[in-house]
Amino acid sequence: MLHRAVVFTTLATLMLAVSSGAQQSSPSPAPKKAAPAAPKQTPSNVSGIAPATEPSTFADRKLEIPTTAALLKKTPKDAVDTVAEINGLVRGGQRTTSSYNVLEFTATGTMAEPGADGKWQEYKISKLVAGMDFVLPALRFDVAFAGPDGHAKHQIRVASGKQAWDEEKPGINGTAMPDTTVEDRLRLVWLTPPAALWGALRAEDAGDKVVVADEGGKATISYSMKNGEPVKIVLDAGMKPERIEIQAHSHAFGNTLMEADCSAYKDFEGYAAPFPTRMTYKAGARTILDLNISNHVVNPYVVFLVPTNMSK
Amino acid sequence: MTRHISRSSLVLFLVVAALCLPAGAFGQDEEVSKADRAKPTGPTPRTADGKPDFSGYWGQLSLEEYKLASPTTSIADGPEGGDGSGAAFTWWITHFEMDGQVRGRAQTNRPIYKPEYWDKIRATDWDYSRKHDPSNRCLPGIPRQGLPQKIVQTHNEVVFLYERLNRFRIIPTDNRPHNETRSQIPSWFGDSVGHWEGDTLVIETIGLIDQSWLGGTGYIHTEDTKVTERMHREGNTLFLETTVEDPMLLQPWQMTPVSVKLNPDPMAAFAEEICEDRDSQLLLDPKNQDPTHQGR
Repeated sequence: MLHRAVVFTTLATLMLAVSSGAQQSSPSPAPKKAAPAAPKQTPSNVSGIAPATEPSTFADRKLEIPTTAALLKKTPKDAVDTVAEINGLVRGGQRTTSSYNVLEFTATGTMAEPGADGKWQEYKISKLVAGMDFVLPALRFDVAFAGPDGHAKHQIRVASGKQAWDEEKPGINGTAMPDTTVEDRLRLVWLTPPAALWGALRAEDAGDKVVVADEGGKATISYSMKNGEPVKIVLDAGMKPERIEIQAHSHAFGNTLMEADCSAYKDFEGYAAPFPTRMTYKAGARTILDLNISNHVVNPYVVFLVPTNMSK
Repeated sequence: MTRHISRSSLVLFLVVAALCLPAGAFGQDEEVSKADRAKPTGPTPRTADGKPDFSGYWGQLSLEEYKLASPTTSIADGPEGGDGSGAAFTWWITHFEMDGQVRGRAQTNRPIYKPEYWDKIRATDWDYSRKHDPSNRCLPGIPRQGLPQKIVQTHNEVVFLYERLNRFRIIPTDNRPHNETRSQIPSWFGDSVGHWEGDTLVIETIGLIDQSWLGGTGYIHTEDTKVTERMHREGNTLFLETTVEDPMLLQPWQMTPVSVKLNPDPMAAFAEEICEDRDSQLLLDPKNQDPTHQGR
C-alpha cells in the first residue's frame, strides 16, 4: 500500500513541479471554478494549511447523488455544479470546470437522412467516430455506413466555429460546405450529455438564466444556447442526462424539437466520466441517429483545423 | 520516479500538493490571466551592462510548500474529509490521480500536427503515455522544463537551475552560433544559445533528442525540432513565451505564455530531489490495473 501511495507521490511531485514552473501548454477559457460558500473549518484544516485561493473540497468529491427534491433546494448554480460533477465535468481540489472540453465516442447503429429527392432514407452505420470540442465548438462526424442498396460509404463531416466542411480523410482534402450546415452539425454536440452540461456551466458562468426544476419527479436544467435556442436537460435518478432537448431553428429540419435520449451510462475509461452506451437523436418525431456506443474518450487529441487545401 | 519520504511526509506532501495545484494542473499551470500579467510590481533591476537582471529565485519552492502545512494534518481527516480509514485515503488518492489524468489532457492550445500524424499522437498518448512518458523515467526535455526556479546571470551567459530533479542549463548569451558538436548529437537538453533583443532574452535550442516529448500527452517530435524561448522581466515578474517548430507540425506551436513571480524569501533554497526510476510501472491506468503490482 505504501508503494501504491508512493506512486501517487510521483504524480503529486509532477503536479507540484509543474505548478512551480514546468509548462505543458494550454489556455483555457474559464479556468476558475467559483468557490463554494466557505472553506470548512475543521480542527485539522485551520491549523497549519495556508488558505488556498479556493477551498480544498475533496470531501465533496465523495459524491452523493441527491434526490430531485434535494437538488432543487440548492441554488441553480450549486445544482448545476452538483450535476456536472456527478458527470465528470468538475475536477480537482479547485473544482475546475474547464478540465473536460473534448470527447470522442465510437458507435454503430442507424441513421436517417433526407435524400436529394427529399425522401427519408435509413442507413446502417458500421462505424461512427464522433469527435466533439465544446470550446471551439466543433464536430468531426466520421461515419462509415450503407444504404438500402448495400453500398458502403464513408463521410467525414466537420464543423468548427463558423465553418463547415467535409474531409476525405481526417484533416485532409476538405470540401467547403454551406454555412447553413454549421449549426445543424454543431447541434449534435450540444445534444450530447457532457456538452449539454458544459453549456449549462457556461450559461451559469455568464450570468445567463439557468432554471432547475422538477418535472414529474425528474430534475431538469434549462438554459439558452449562445444562438438563443433553448435547451432542456432531463435528469434520471442518478442525475445523469436521460433526455436533452433543443428547440431548434434547423436549416435541415425546420423549427423543430431536437432531442437525444441517453441511457445505460458507463464509465468507459475509469475516470469518473460516465457516458451513455445508448443514444437516440431525434428531429421532431423522426429518429435521425440510433447509436450503440462502444467507446468514449475524454480529452483525446482531436483537432479541427481547416484542411490546407481549403485555406490556400 | 520517487522522492524518498516517510508516510507522514507523503501525506503531508500530498495535501500540500493538492492545495497548491493550480486550476489547470498538468495543463495550464503557469498560465497567467491577462489581469495577472498586468500586475508586475517594483522596478526591473538591471545588470552593469544595462540588461534586465533575471538573477534570483523564481516562484514557490518545495521547502516553502512543506512549511505551509501542519505536520499533524493527514489526508484522511484533513480538508478532504474522510473517516481516517485506509479506504478513505485510497478513495481520495485515486480521484486525485483521475482528475490529474483528465486535467492533463484538457488542453485548448495543442500543437497542431500534420494530419498524417494524428493517429500516431493519439496512440502515443492514450495507449502509451501513462507508462512511457519520458518524464516518468526521470528524463527531461525542452520545452517541458519550463521556467527555471533560479537564474544566475553573468554578462555572457545565464544559468537556469530547476528545482525539479535539480537540473540545470548553461546558456551563452553572447550571440555565438550553436555548438557544432552539441547541436549534431541529439540530447535531452539540446544545444541552447541566447541573444538579447532589446530587453528580451531569446534562447534558441536545437539538437533535441527525438525521444523527448513536447508535453505529457504524447507530443512527440523529430530531431529537427527548434525551440525558441523569449524571456523578459517586468518588475518582480518573469515572462516566458515559447515557440516550437518541427517538421511534424502543421504550423509553429506558440505555447501558452507563462510567468512567475520573484521569490522574495532571502532564505530561499532548493529541496534535494533525486530521481529513481522504479515506480513508473505503477502509475494508475484505470483500464489496466494490475493488483499484483500493489504492495510490491
